Amino acid sequence: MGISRISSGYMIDRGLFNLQKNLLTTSSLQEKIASGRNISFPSDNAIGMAQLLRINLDAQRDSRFDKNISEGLSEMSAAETAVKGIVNVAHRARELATLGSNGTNSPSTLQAYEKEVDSLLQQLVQLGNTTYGGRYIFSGFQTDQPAFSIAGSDVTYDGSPSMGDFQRQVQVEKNIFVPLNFPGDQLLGEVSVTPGSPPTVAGSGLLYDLTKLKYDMQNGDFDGIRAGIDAIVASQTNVLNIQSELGNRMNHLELTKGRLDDAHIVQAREIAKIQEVDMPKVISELNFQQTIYQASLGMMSKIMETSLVNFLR
Amino acid sequence: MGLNIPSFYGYFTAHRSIAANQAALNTINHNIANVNTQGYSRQRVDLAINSPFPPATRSNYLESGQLGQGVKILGISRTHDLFLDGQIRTQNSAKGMQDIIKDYMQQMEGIVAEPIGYGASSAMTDFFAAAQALSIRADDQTARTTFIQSAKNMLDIFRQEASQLMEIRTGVVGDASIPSTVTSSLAAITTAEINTELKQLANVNSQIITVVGAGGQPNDLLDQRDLLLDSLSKKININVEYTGSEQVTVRLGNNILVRGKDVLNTLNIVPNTTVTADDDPALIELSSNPGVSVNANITGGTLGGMLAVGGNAPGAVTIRSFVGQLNTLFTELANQVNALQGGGYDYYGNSPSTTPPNDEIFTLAGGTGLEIFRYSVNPDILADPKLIAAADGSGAFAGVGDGRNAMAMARLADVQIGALGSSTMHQFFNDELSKLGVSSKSAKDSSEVLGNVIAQLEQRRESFQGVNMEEEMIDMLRFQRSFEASAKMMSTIDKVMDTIINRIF
Repeated sequence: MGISRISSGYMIDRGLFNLQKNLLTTSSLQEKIASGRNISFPSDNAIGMAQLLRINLDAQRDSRFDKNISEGLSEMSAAETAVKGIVNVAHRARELATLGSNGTNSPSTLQAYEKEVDSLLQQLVQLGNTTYGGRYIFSGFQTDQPAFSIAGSDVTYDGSPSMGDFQRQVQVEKNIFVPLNFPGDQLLGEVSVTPGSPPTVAGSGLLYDLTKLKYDMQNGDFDGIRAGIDAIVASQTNVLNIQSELGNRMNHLELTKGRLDDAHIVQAREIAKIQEVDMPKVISELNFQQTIYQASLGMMSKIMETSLVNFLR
Repeated sequence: MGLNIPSFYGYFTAHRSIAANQAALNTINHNIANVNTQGYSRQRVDLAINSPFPPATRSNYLESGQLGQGVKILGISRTHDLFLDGQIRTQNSAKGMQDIIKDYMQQMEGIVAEPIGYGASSAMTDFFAAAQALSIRADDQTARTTFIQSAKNMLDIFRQEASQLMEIRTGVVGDASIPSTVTSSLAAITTAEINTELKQLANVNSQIITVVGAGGQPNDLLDQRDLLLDSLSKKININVEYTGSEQVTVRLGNNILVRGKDVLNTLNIVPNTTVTADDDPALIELSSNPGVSVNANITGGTLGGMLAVGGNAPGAVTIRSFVGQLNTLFTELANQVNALQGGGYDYYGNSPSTTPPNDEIFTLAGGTGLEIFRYSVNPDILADPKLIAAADGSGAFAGVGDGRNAMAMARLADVQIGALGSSTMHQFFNDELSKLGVSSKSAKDSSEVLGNVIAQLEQRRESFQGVNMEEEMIDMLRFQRSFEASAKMMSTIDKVMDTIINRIF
């Protein structure tokens, strides 16, 4: 049903209704410009909001992973330095063993070598007890106590047992964990000495090798020293393997960090796509809206001026 | 023989004409005066040809025809469309309801503060991030303190949102456990307004009966009543039925509220004391039938909107349903975290399950009502964060650096939980938020559409019943001229009489 008769009230009501509508549109455009956001409330765009929350969640989680990686990398750098030191010690021990294996060495020379081996042993224990941020990094979970303790010539590993489970890990992606540390006994082994003549040396790893070398030198056991060279090489290889494993882990972290950075850019772009207001577009819409508003105001005043009343005398 | 015309015949015809024109002019006056009055229907004097003289009878052979007796006033009628009224009232009820729902949904969205602010979702993310940090640095006091503080912060945010939402609900329909809040709620105020209008309506009806009984046409009273009905229809869904003698009967569902001059029922609002009190804190009852709720009949108007948004109808997004979902989410989170706390080792190497209450991060106080208002963070653990069971409890205590149990807490973020519809906690929350957004949008859209429909209908009504100045001006001139002509007629007839009486002899 069309409208066939116009009442005075109709003109005013209709005009006001349209002015109101214009103002509402203007105010929503203003809101967008002022906040710079397309979505201020879930009802502005429920689907967009759900996407936004999901991306935000991913972004927040990724930033946590990023922190995990940074912390992991710092601790691993400390571990890497320590392992490098251990490799150097092993290298020097091997040199000393090779030098000492020569049967022409005088007892005093051997004694000098033995002293250096002893100091290398102490370096090893010191390296094994490396701390980072106040925690002993080779003690497994028992970060509050040194990994190795010395009692006479015995060196005991006091950390968590060297099993896969007992490694501290960082999460770097959903479902991906990277171990942070190497249990010290895997790195250096243990050693215990039973006094006797000659004393019995038992244990494993570099600690055993160097202690054995020390006693062999003490006793002038050149065969023992020679046999020890191979043992040191084998242990050194083990440490080198650990060093490369550490390198691999750090690589993994660096790569993940790169991936997270890429993802971050994508997320930022997605968020911007959903949330950021296209300013030039909105501002031109606002200008257009204002023009309409002014036009309707002008028209209203013109229409309200004209009435038959004005012409009746 | 010709027609026998009474001598003073012309005076009466002219008099009737003058009276009719005067009545028309006064009606125009009334119309112009009310050009801006809300609900006014323009009025018209209905004129008809007066029955001619002489009247036709069997004994009266009208050989010279009948002589006209001028005009007569049939009555003064208002230009009004009852059908449009009915349509507008139906839409009014629907819009009143959607407006309320829209307003409160928007308030809810503001409180929940996503996606722009810091809300429950962000608080959960922070909590899980703190658990991550703790898993790497289980031996670090700072990481432990951050973890327990973020747990407290998360609980605070959840509880704050829930309690703000419940406060809004109390404002709308009250809290059944505190009867005074029900009787001072917005729904109670609206109910009181409805009752006042029902009484006014009966009063107007009674006046209309008097006027109609005296043979009158109560145009202005009818307008007044239409306005009252419009106003009522915005507040509650009523059925209006027109009966004889210009009477209306107003029904809510099948129950008569007003019939003619009698108010048969007013509405009472009472606190719900039954088991459904948590779902519907306020019950509306009819004064003639106390103890029986008519909430189910109130499906429109602002009161209908208040009952809907303050109620807890299954499937609908209401204030209570949203708080309920927040509650479910937090309770599930607390249960899962507590289970892990109980099964790990703390910094001292103790298993918290053997030293209650340290086996819970979130302690639930006894009592009734929503759990979210009864949870608190275990004060012992807040005082000594070393009691957090960050270490794995599956074997012997592995050391203070063991953060595997904390990692398990962090990974709760990825666990799909059966009680949450096999969603993760974040998914569950986002789903609820989306539902709120969609409901709010839908209420906003409906309100807008209904607003347009009502505007159209009202404009149509206004175009039909409203006063047009030009029209009135033209009519004014028309009746002014015919008044002048009638007056001229009167003086002419007077002159004729003057001739007959004074000049004949």
